[in-house]
Amino acid sequence: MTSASQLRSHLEAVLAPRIPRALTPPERPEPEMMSTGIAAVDSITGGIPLGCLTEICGPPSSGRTSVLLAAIAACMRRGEICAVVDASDAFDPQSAANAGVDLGRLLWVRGGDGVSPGRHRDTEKRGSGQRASGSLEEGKRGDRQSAVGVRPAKNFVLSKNAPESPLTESRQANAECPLLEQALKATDLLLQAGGFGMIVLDLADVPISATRRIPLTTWFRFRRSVENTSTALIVVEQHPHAKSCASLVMDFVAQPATWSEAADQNATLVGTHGIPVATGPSLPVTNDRVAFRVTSEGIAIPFHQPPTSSFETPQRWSIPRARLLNTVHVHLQVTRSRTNRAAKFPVCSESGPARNQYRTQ
Amino acid sequence: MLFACIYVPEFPVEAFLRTAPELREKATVVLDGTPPLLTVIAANAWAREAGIETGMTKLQAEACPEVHLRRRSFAQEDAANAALIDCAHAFSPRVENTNRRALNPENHDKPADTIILDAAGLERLFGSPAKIAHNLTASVARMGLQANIAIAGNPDAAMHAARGFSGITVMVSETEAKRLATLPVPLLEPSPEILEILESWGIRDFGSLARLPEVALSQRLGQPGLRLQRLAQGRAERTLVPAEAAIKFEETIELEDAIALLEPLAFVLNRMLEQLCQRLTARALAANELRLTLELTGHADQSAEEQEASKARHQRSFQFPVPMQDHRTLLKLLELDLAAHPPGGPVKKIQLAAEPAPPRFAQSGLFLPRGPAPERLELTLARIRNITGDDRVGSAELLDSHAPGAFRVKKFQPSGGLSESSGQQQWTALRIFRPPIQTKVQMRHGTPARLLLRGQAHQVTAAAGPWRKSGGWWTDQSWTRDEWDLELCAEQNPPMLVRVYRDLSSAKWYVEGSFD
Repeated sequence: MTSASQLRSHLEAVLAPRIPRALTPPERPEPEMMSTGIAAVDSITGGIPLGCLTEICGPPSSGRTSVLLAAIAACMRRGEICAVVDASDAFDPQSAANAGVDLGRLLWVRGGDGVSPGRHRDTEKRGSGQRASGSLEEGKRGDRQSAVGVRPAKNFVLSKNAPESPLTESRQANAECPLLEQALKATDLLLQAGGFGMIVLDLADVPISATRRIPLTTWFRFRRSVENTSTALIVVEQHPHAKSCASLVMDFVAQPATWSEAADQNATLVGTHGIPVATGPSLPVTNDRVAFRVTSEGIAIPFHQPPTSSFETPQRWSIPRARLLNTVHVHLQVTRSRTNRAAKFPVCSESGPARNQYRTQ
Repeated sequence: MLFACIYVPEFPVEAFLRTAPELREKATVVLDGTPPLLTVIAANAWAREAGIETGMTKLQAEACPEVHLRRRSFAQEDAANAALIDCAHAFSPRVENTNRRALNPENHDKPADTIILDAAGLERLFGSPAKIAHNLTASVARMGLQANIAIAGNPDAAMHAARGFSGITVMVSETEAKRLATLPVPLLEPSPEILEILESWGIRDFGSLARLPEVALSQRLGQPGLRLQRLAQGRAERTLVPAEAAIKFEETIELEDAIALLEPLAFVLNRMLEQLCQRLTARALAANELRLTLELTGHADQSAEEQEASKARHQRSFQFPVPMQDHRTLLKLLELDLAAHPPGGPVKKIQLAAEPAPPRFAQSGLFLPRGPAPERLELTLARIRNITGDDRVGSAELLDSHAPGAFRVKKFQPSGGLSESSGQQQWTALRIFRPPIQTKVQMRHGTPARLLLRGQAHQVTAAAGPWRKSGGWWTDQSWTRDEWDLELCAEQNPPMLVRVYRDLSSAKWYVEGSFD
């Protein structure tokens, strides 16, 4: 070992006039950090590193998306433009707007089956709510008709006399392309375009069995594409897969939520559209509930009013158990970080990294 | 006074070669007439060397080996003429167009091969008249045309010099008569009677005509004879008639053989876009909108009736967030769009029109981050649209409605400046299942107690609700439902928070999404 290091030093010394530090990898400067918009998260992670890949992992209902939307909003407050590649078409614009995201400056690349929002509502109205035919599970089954973005078969070759057109091949490749691959391609294109402050690859609802199959070269390519830029690449998933390509990995753990017992409080809770109805802890869920009033006889709930109407028809509804989903606790653990690595991961620790927990209050 | 003339010899051939530069080094001939009486009206130098002459029949021309025969296309000639005018306007605002088709589209007698521009005062911008002529030649060459350029003290002398001498001709004042002396008399375009008389007198060039005594010529040929003499002497005075034609950027190609594949079609489109962008650049403009019209024809193995029935037009329109001048970007956008929206048949005629707009002059704030370049962003979005589908890329816009999922996806056109978002807020986000998952809910004392989700039974450990929501009852899109927020617990799984609702019209339960 000593001889090897001596040989290396000798070679570097010989090559120094022509190639300085020939065998020593260049030192990577500390990345610039960007706030997540939540002080408690910033205190643990130091923020989101720019020019790096960040993984936000955890099971459903662990608070990943809430923290993500807060980070996007914080990024936009700096004047940046952001992009979300939503593999499973689960992004909720209303939630994003509530979190302070400027939707006009957010590029949304939707996965799914290509069904327009209007059709969703129709489906909902008719009550024929079957699971999306273009879901990831079905996509894996190779159902070409249900693959994402594939329109009904058309003569996409200019001439039927030319079946071997390159155009034909590209379209067929698209038809066989699973949703995950499309999301990865879209992310790749956005990274190449440059200029975005934050690019989010949302794989939160993609099965682990599918995300595990993403080759390491893809993560490596993402890391190389994003480094030396001022873009933060964030991947939301259930388990971390990027390994050493990720500069920051945040692991979220689902916690029981806090529910407010409205009837027990024996208080009057009044809310209006867009204004939090619950007092106390923040992160209220009921942002779009209609106004209601708790009385000794029960809860008075008016019918839903059209936006432009001003009439109000109260209706008595006796449900003494009525309460609100009040707070979602976020339990966050940093499992990998480029910054202050020694402090975060004591080598002699036997019980693993210390868990940091913050409650959104 | 100084006037410059741009003359394109063999204009019909040049107009065709402008869109097919690979044939420039090959013998090419343009035919016109009513089939089967097609005759040669123009031929390039290679065809002349092969023995082709104007007036030959198609059969005679076909006898020459390796000669490319093309039918005359007035659309291409008009586009080439428009390119010449654009080129001239890059030098001077006073441009005279000799295209008679511009005034009357039915006028096919003469090709629109000559442009005259007022070059007075251009010395301060471009230098000497010789430099002006060189700049004009280079500019016309960028348009894909080969022209003769002449500069003289009056428009007619410049025109005759451009038509008579190849290359660049610069005539200093008072030397026009000497320089024009060798040109043939038919270049003055006299009437057939006068030409015959001059022939009988042995007058065959400008010099001979210029030396005739004025009074004697006037007695024999009258005022037309005198006018011809002044033209031959290069002394004719007339006022330039500047053309104020509407700025129209259109390129048209009528294909001899229909194109059935995207790659050759892109090849042709590339040439057209190059020319279009050159013309826009010459006018210091950019394309704000691009309209592509493809005239389709039937397949070769179809009968004549079927081919006639399948003739159609494929039209695509592209509106850009910022005016563009780069033909490569435009070509890629066209390619991606045609790949996503194929015409459905072989293409016989291509028409490309650009809506001009001033180029983008924008400077973002010094302390604002640089966003994605608009041209590159547009290309990236087109590529992503090609992967995911047209309506799957954009920015969300909330609608003024309380209906669940009331939003629409619009074209992504980010505005500059800082975000319009309000202050820092913290909300629990909802992840939507699109479309909602139908489920079965077991109620206990009016509250959900068990729920079946994706084939797995979940115990409800906490519930909040119901909240009744309804709307649209005044339309046929009414909706009404009771919403619940539930905490689910399944074996060996972490707790999960979901929003479920019961559709009151169908009495079915759905899971709308999960809180995360």
